[in-house]
Amino acid sequence: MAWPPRRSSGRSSRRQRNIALLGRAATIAAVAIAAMLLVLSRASPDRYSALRSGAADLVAPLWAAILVPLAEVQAAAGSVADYFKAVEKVRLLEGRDRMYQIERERHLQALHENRELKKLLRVTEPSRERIGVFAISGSSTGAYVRYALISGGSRHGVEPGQPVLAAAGLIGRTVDVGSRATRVMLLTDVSSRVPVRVVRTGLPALLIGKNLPLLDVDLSGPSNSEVRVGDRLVTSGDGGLFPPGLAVATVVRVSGDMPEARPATTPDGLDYVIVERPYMPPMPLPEETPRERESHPEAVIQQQAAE
Amino acid sequence: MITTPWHQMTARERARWIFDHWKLSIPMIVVVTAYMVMTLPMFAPLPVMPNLALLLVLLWTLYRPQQMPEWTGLPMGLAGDILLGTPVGANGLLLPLFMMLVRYADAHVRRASWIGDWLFSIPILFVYHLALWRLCALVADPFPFLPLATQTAATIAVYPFAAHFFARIQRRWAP
Repeated sequence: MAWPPRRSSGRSSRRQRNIALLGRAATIAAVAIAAMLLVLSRASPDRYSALRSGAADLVAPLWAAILVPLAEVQAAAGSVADYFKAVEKVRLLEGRDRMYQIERERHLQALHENRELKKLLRVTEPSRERIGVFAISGSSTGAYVRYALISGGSRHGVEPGQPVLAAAGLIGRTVDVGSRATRVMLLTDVSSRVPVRVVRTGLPALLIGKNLPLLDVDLSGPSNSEVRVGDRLVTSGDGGLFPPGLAVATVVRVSGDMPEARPATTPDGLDYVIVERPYMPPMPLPEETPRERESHPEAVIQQQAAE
Repeated sequence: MITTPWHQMTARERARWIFDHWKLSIPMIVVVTAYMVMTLPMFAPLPVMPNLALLLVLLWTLYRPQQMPEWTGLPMGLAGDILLGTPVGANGLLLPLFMMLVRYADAHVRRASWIGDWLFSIPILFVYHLALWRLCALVADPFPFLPLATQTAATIAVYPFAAHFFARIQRRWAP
C-alpha cells in the first residue's frame, strides 16, 4: 500500500497540479536522455571507458579490504577439507608419481634437445615480460558481462589489452584501466575471442565466450579440424596478444552445432593473477601526420582576391 | 518544501535548505549502494547475485512512491550501468519505465497481504530482465538469457529480505 494513500477524489490545489506536471516533464526528459545515451553507447561502446575505470578505482579497494577476512576463512575451510581422505590421496599421488617419472625424464630430454636445436637454427623468440602480480578484488556477478577487478592500475604499468594469467592457465585480458584498479574481461565474456590450438592435432580453433560456464569452440577455420571430448586447448599466439602454449580450456562436449569447452581456470578462489606485456605487440604503423584538407582552387582565388 | 524562490535565497539560506533536505536523497544513495554491493566478487558459474537495486526501486515505488519520483531512475540507472558494465543508458532508460509500469500495475491489481505483493513482483521483475536482455542484445553483443534468468530467480527469492531491509531504512531514516 502506497503511503501516503492516493486521493481518488477531492480537489488538488494549483500548486499540486503544477508539481505533478513538472514531475511528468522530468520523467519524459529522463527517458529521452537515457535513450540518447543508449544510442551514443551503441555508436561507440568505448566512450564510457574512463567512467568505468573510475568506478573500478572506487569499488576495488572497498572489496579488497572487506575480502581479507573472508579469504582467510575460505583458506581455513579448504585446509580442513584437505585432511579428509588424506592417506588415500597420498597413496594415489605416490602411484601417479612413479608412473610419471619416466615421462618426466623423456620430457626433460626433449626440452634439452629442443633448446639445442633452436640454438643451432638461431631461432629468435620474443620474450615474455611480466608487469606485475595483482590480487583479484571484485567481479561482475551480473549477467551482462563477465569481468574481474584486479588491484593494479596504470600507476603499476598496466595498460588496456594485456594478457592476464594464473598458474593454471589463461584468465582473460585487461580492458578498462584505472589508476589503481583494472577491469579484466574473462574468457567467458560474450565479446571474448581467444585463438587456440588443439594440442592433440596441432590445428587452430577459436574460443568464443557466451556468458555461460562453457565456451564455444569455433572450428570453422581454414584447416577444418575436429576435436574429441578431453582435448586440451592451448593459446596459439595468433594475434600477438597471448603467449603461445598457455592452457586455456578442455573440450567437454562435442554434440550440438559447436563443441563446448570448460575454461582451465575460473577466478573463484584465485587470489593472485599475473599481468604480462602482449607477447608480440602489433607493429607500430608509420605515423601519419594529419594533413590539412586542400581547399578548392576557386576558394583560394577568392580568398586571395579578398585579401 | 521551498517556501522562498531559489534565486531569492542568500547563499546561507541555500546551504541551510540543502542541509535540511539531504534526507530526500536517501533513496538514491541506498539504491546506488545496492548497485555497488552487486559487484561483490562471487565467481559462481551462473550469476546468483540478486538484482538488489531493482528490488529496492520496486519496493520504494510500491510503498513510498513520493520518496522516489520517476526521473530519479535515470541517475540511479546510469550509476548501475557504469558499475555493472551494461551498455550505458540501458538501466537508465528502463528504470523510469519500470517505475511507471509498477505504478500502473499497482493501481490495477488487488492484493491482500505482503505475499500478494511478492507474487505481484514476480512477473514485473521478469519483464524488466527480459526487456534488459533484449535491449543489451540490441545495443551490444547478443548473449543467452540463462544468466539473466538465474539472476531473476535470485532476485525473486530475496524479496522478503529486501522488504525487511526496506522497512528498517524507513524506520531509521524516513525522510
